[in-house]
Amino acid sequence: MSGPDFDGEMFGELVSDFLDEGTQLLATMNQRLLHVEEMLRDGKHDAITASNNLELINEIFRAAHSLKGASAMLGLSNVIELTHRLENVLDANRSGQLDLRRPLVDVLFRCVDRLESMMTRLREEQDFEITSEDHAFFTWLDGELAGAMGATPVEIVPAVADREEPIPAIQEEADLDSKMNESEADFSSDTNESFFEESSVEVSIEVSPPFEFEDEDDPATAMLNPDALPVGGEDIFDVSKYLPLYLDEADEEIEGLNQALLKFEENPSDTESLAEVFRMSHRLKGASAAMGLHEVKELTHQIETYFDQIRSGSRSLDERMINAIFESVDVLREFHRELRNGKGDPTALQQQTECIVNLVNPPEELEESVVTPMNDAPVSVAPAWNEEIAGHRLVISFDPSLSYSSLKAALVLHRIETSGEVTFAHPTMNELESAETCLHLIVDVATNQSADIVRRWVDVDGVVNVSIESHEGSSEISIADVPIAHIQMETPAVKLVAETIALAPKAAEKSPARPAKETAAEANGSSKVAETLRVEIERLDQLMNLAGELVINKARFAQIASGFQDMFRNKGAASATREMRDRLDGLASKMRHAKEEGRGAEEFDRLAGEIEQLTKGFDSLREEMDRINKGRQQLHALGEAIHQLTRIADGIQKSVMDTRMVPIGPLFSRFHRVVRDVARVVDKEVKLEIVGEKTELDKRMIDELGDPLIHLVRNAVDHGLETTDQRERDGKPRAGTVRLEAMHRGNAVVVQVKDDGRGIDPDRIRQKALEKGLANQTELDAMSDKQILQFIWHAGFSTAREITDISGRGVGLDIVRSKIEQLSGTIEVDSELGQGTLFTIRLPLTLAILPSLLSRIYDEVYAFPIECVEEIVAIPVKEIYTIQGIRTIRVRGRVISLVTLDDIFRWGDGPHPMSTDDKEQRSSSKELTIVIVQSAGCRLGVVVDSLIGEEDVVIKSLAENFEHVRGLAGASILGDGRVSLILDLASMTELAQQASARLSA
Amino acid sequence: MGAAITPHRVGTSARSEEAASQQVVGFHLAGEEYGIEITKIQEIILPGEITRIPQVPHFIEGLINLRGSVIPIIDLRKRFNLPSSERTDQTRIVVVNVGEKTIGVVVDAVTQVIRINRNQIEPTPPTVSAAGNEHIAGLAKVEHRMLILLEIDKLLRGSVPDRQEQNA
Repeated sequence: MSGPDFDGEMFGELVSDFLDEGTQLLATMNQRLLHVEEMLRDGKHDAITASNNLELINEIFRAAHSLKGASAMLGLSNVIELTHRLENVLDANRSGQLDLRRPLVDVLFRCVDRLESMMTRLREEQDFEITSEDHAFFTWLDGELAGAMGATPVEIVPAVADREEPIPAIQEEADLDSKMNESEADFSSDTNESFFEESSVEVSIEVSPPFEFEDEDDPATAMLNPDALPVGGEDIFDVSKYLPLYLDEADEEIEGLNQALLKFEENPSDTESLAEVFRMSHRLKGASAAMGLHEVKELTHQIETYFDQIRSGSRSLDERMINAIFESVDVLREFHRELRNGKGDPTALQQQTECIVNLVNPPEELEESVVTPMNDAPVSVAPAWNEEIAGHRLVISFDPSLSYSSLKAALVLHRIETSGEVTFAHPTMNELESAETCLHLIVDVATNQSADIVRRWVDVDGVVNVSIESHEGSSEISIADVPIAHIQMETPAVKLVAETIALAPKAAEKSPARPAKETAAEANGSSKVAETLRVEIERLDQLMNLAGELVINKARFAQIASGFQDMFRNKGAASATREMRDRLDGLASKMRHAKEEGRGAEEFDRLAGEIEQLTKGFDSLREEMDRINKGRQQLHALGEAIHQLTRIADGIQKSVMDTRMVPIGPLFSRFHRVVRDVARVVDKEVKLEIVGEKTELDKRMIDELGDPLIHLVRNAVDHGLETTDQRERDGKPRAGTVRLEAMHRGNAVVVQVKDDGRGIDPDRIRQKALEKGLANQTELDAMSDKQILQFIWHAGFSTAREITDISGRGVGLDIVRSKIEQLSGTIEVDSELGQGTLFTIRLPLTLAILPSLLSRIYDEVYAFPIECVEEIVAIPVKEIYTIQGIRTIRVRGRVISLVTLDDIFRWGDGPHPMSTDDKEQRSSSKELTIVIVQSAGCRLGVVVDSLIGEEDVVIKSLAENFEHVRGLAGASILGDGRVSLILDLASMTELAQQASARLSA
Repeated sequence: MGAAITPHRVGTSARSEEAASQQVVGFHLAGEEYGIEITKIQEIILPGEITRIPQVPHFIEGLINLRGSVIPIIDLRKRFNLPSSERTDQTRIVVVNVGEKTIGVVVDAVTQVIRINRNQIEPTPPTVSAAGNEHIAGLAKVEHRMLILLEIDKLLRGSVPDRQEQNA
């Protein structure tokens, strides 16, 4: 099929929205299916049927249905095909024709998997054609389903499959002369048109006759049914997120409509502006229908109909009508404004619609009618019905062979609602939405139309019988809304009913609609539509980098400013004054001498000249001093400005960081399925607990965390937990528990994977370590259990006796660890034999900025990630002990091995050129500054020359222009523009261990 | 950081001539004259402070901050096992783009931009010391001098000894 244009920015957006939404829907389906399976396993039910678990099935159905609707909107043929089948199966189940048993559940799971792979294909290749693989799957599925259904024939193959293009109207050239109609399919074409083509020039109009529901199976139709789209629902394709998009578009269209109307009014022969009016209202109609904004759709529909008549020449321009339409534009504008601020009140729209309806189809009877407006209070009393306004009870029967008869019923009901006042309906719109079939629909409607006209409303394809019982002045009919219907006649257009006009203004003031609207707007003031914008993560990365640069530059400013301060503190001026003072003193004594020696006037003249010079000197000095003082003030201002800059830079950095934060929940919920699959393979009962799913962390982090977590969770289920039998023997609950937990701890996020299984046996690790030659017996004996546990991080180390499909090959934990370390995080393991195992992952909040401790070593600046710094101590040299050549210190009873960077690192060919003299100097100095770091369960004291302080540094990857260097997490740029190295303490610890092994060997 | 000296592009001549010739930036290194294709060069800067980095081969001088990017600096003398020397006021860092990466190489002095015709370039004789052989794209005779054309793409590659070996 000719799919929508993928280059269209809008479409791309919709696809990515669809993918987001679809992923959620699939997650929901997965989850509910797991639930179904669980119930089947528990033996609660033999089979899941509508009678015992309707809600659950409904939920799955709804998810499939929403997915189908969403994919139909985008014309994703493969997804439509599959979801349609899925929907049919679930529907068969819902209607009691098919029981949901174990094998079928597996089939459903496979469908979900298939859908997942379709989405992946869509995401990666923008491909949504039905591949041969898909075909094979459908064939298999149909076979399976046919088998499952057995004798019960249920239509599986979707109608969509036979239709070549689900939304054929989109691409077609518009035909402005085609007849307007109300077909719902029309709305679907509108939606596509206005959402997909930003600069739509021509309007596409479906040519099908009114009320022909060939497309009742068309998911797009189902989706566009306003009630099928509860805005804000979580489990369904959520239109509310398109609201900002819609509002922007609507504003444009309303404005366009206004402009075109003005033009048209000026020059009624201008067909172009007429076409524009038509186009704008048509687009607005389409968009509002897609959003489920009934009232907007209705009003625009009426406007459109009117202009259609003008265009076709069956009606001429009429001033009242133009005025009414201008008013409609105002009402529309007002409504959309309210909608943007919260929730719009559609009452005014309804009124306006009625008004237009009456103008378009002048109800001749009404012209003569005398309508007595009721009190403005909505009372439900028997009204003094005018004989023309009558109540009708309609009993509509539908063709039982119709699939989706409920949908048709909803459409019929909807049509009645727009033509008259529905006072009673069974089933109601909402009920119809959740029902799949509906054979009879009972509606009470109040209208001024005759029974014959009413019959024409409902006389559509698929309706086999309509009985109408008309009762004038029926007491069943509420009058509540009737006055409103007439109040709108205050519009100058309606001078039809004199009585109404006379009363209208007063009634309008008192109309309950207006205050209600205002309070609604006020009440909803807090729930404003959040305007959102999709941003590529790369752009956020860039923004984050820039924010980082800003922070660096800020630091630089601060440094420069403090340099200035030092300069101004310089007492240059003071010394100059002192010097002058001395010279004056000298002069004075010279004068005294001259006087004593009785020297003459010349000498005095000479001295006076010198004094003059000095005075001049003093003047310029004073000027200089003034300047300096001004400079000092400026400096003070600079300080303020820098302070401000600091505040802003920090704010930007934080906001950018916040922008990137997403909750971990969706990642966690993926694990329901992972656990289920693994548990089935290994035949264990496993319960997954999830805690802290609201914890937020950097999007990139979440993306990277998936794989390591899958490793850990699989491991936990496969190896951590005992078999069910074993658990029973041990007196544990049959079902093992795996717990995923996330929480914030200071500036870090902690993610834990915990199981209540057998724990890791240190003795087996000892044995394995010995076998693998990782350590000798003496070494092993000297190690604590906690230290022994660290062997699990070695590549190729697995204590599993059997290798399974899932885990046990010893690849995994080392990869997990290196992955976590790449994220500047740490992972630790804790295990108690028989009680379970706990993996704790600690991650910085973001990948880009690292809170760190800066210190000076060998005249270079090194950053220790603060996460790993345990404490800083100053230890006298004489308190350093050597154990087998390894230097150690004692800090509060703990023995900690001590390293210098030279012990760990090699610099080119040997030690750091600065370190040799340093060492000597250090041995003579009295105290050493030692940063005690903690990583992978090991403590290490790192000797530093001096500490600089704590600072957030922006991590620059070494691999960007170079390559990863073991022991370094990256580099960062300091305030003075120099590069500092960020230490990777986990791999440093390893390097240190290797170094000490070399040393003691 | 030092002021950037952007290489001057020699006035563009006819396209046909360009196709048959290339421009190189010439520089001195231990008394020899080398050339790097001008298209690979991003800029030429004065050497500033270089941060040393551990666990890397000896010819990696360290890292510098080039307007917010951290780039590695290679000492070409060390890279080619030539005797090392002190920095002079002629010493420059030539910043080159190698694939996606940007690196800097320390050279004794930058001379000029030279246009070389393709037919001036001769292949490297196999007898030329094996050490830097893979980094030589060819030799070009310019007036009376011999210019060694550098193949910079391989300067970083294979530059780091195998990690296993290093950590053993």
